[in-house]
Amino acid sequence: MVNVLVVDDDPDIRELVAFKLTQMGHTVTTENDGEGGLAAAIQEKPDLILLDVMMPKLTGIEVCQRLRDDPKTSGVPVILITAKAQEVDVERGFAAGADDYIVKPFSPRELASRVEAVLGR
Amino acid sequence: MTAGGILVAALLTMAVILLGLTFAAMVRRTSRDLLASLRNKREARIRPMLLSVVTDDEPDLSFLRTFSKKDLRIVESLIWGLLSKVRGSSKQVLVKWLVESGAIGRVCEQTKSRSRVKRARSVELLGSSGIAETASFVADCLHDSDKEVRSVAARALGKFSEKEAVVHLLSALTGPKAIPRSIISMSLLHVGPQAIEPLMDGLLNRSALVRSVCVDMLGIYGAVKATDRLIGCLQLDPSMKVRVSAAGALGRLGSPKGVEPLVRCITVNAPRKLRVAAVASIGQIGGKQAISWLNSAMLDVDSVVSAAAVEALSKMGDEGCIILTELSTMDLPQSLIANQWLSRREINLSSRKRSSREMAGA
Repeated sequence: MVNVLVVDDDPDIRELVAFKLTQMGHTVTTENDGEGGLAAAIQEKPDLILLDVMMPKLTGIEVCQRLRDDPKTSGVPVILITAKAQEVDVERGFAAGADDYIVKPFSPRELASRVEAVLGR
Repeated sequence: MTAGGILVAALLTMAVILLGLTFAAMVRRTSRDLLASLRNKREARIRPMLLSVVTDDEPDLSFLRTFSKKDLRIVESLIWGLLSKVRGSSKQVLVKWLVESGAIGRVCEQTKSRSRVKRARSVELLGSSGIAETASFVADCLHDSDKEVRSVAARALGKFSEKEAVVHLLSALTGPKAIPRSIISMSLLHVGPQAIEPLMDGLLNRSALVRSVCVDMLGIYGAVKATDRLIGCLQLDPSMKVRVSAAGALGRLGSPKGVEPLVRCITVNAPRKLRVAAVASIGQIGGKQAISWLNSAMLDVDSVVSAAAVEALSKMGDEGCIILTELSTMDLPQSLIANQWLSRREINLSSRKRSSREMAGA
């Protein structure tokens, strides 16, 4: 069973993503800001992290950088969730060590494909 | 009855009235809280069902036919909330339900409501639905009597991603009910690549403001196919603002075709703003020819233009910095200004190093 951490300040997105991942048979935990997400990632060491880019306290890109800097979490795959108008952040996300990204509004099917692809690597 | 008696009676009456009003307010608040609590319980029951279906590979909302009217009102409100969060088959099934239940029709009617709050809210909801057939209702609200409704309509129209939306948005830039440029520009950005063709058509608009916005947006979209038209604007537009915007847009496009027309802007007797924009854009386009022209622009009699040339060279990466560093050691007219750049750079570098040491020490 795969443990997935979902970090997004939008409660609807958190719930939708959590639902989809649960339908796929994964165990899901959620956090609503960057700091909480980082702490949860270090404590729980999930198999995959989905990170929103724009969040209070710490952005998704900052969280991703810190995860990569910490040897305990550097190997955890990260998928960034970015709004359509922020696609320029995708480059910065990859530079920070993200493995993939999905764009909001998101397609549950596309989410499933991206998650399977990243977990399969 | 004595005066004292009348006073006591009056005070007692007031007390009774106050008590009555307080009791009525308490009852009202309690019943409101109770209704909200019942609604929240309904929502808590319905929401997971809806989310589960929406995230399914083959979403199907036919099970909603068994729901009561009260439950369906909650479903409608939840669906409107989810519309802007999902796309693809999930969104299609939500939109289909809204159309079939008559919700879309009701919201379209509300765009004509006497209440500006209802008009604004309905326009916002239609924008989140993105249903092409409702775009005209949103477009009509661009000319609403209320400024806020007009702004909300402009933001909503961008979500339709339709060519026609661009035409409406551009028309809303001018006139007595004009919508601020910043709102229109943001909305145009949301339309997507479909906006490029109508934006190119907008370059022929009578209004300089509209032409300027079209030029800026084409640059932001990176519409390389508009290069020739933008060069035309740079050279021939009667408005200097549009020409300056065109210079900036050509830099964003990065097409080498733009270098020569931009160079002509710095060699002829053009206004400062245009020369500065042209110099910056030549730097953005890059290439050996650009470096050579920027070198010459450093000799411009206007210090603002020559400073812009230095800035542009410094942003061209290692090659530009090497040239500036070499120039600073030579005895040429450009050397002084290159030296000034080098000094500023060294000051910035040493202050950054000092800050890093302080942070490391802390």
